[in-house]
Amino acid sequence: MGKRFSGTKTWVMLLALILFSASARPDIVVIVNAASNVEQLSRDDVVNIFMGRYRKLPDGTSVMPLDIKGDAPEKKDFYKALLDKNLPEVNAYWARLVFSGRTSPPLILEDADQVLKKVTLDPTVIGYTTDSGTREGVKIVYRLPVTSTP
Amino acid sequence: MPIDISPRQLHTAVVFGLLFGLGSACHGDTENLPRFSLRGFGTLGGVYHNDEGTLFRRDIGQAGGARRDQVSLVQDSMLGAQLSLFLHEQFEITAQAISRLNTENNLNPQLTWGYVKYKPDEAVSLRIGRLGVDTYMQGDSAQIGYANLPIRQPITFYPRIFDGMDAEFNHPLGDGTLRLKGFGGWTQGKLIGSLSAGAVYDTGGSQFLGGIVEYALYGWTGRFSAGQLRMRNEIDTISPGSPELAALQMLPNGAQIIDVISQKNREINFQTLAASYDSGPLQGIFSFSFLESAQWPDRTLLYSHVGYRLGPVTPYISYSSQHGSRPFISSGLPSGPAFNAINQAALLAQSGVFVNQSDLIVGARYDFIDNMALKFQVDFMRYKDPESIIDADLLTQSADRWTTRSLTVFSLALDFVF
Repeated sequence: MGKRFSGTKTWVMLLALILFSASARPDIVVIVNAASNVEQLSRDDVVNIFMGRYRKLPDGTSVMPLDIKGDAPEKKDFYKALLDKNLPEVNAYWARLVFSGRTSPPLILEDADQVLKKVTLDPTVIGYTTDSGTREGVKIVYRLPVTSTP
Repeated sequence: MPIDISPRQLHTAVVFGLLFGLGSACHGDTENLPRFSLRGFGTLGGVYHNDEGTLFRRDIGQAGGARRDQVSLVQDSMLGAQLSLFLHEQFEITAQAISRLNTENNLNPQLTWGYVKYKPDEAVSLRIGRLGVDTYMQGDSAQIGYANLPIRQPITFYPRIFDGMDAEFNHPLGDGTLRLKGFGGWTQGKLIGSLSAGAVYDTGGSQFLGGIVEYALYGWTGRFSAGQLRMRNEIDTISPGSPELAALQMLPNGAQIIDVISQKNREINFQTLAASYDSGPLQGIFSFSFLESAQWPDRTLLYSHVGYRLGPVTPYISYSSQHGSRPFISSGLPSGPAFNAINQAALLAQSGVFVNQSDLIVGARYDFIDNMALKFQVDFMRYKDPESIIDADLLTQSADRWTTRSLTVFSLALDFVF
């Protein structure tokens, strides 16, 4: 009986491990160049910058947000965690602003590596990436926990 | 083999060719800003209804309408292209053209935006050229189907573009963002009223002035706008020398009736209070406008919609209405068979000023692939004094005895951006 319970327990733990590993996704972090004077942003700052409302850092520096082309997982996670929006909704939002001439969308780069590289080299941009270890040349200014699959 | 091409087709080809040609001619990127961007948008849409004698139009900028038992592809279908050249971080030139059914009953493209933008700072921007009318929320993206939840935005009696300038100021305030905007210029565009029997009214050159205060906080945006439109041109029917004007002038109350229907130098004042919410799966808009002009009954405009995303599908419901009283002025002639035709004509002439039309919409948007959305909606429309609907049967009755009628329209649209 005890052996059978132990077997059940093992299966439950294994299942929990599988479920946990399927849903455990790294946080998304908003990054700026390491030389930036800004140490931390609020959620409103990040929304204002990435959604084209007001593209200045709290120290008054203008920044250009960077985005990733297509429907990369990082991109889905970023907008889901920041706005609880899926990519078609974000695209519709930008269609409204762009075709009425209000503002331009973020600068689109091919992938997350290019975003990281650009932020490392350029103090006038801001980007996002997954939090996967130490990164040289950039500074994390906001963290977005990813709690579920997009 | 010679190619048979009409001047209109040539015009269409030239406008779109120039936009795409200019786009192709520019290469390379600046530091953080592309040198140019070339984008497009469009809608392939069909509408259907089964009301005899009624023509359904998307708005009053269209000459023709969808007839009974015919799927019309021309009311909602359109194609647009936008080219922006970024000359400098502070300067931008943008041109946008749209091909859609117009007052001449063709699809010739129209320049809907064409401006130079100067943005010396993140907080300030100035634009000069052809601009979109932004008096109600999302009004400046009315033709961008992909950007909107319902297939059609509410109908406005005034044109959607003007030549002039606007200035905008943005700044964080508290936890939100404040946006102030002022605009002024001269409207552009032609309109055809529901009762004008195809007569085109040119709004060109009418003075347009206004301003907007907007505050965005989290998912909420609140907004107040106010402005004035001063019409420049007179409607054809009472232009100097017209037989209709001569006939009206002979009526005992003719001068009063002419004052009501005259457009030349008419000042129209409007105020709009609106709020929108867009956060997570829920989005909605509520907008209330008040419009007044001398000798006209005050008019109220209500517009609202709410949608809730369920996976790739967003069901929505929308309600809009335009409402005003109907203070008819009699011709001053006695009633009786001998004067019936004249008396009815005098009432009909005034009915074009009144608007009583509402639209309840139930629909769904399906985002099935990147940058494309399929929408289906049913419009339950009710009208006594229609703004966009052309109903020939109304002309058989005296305008002061019109009753509320209904029209149900089924619409399917594929919206896309590229």
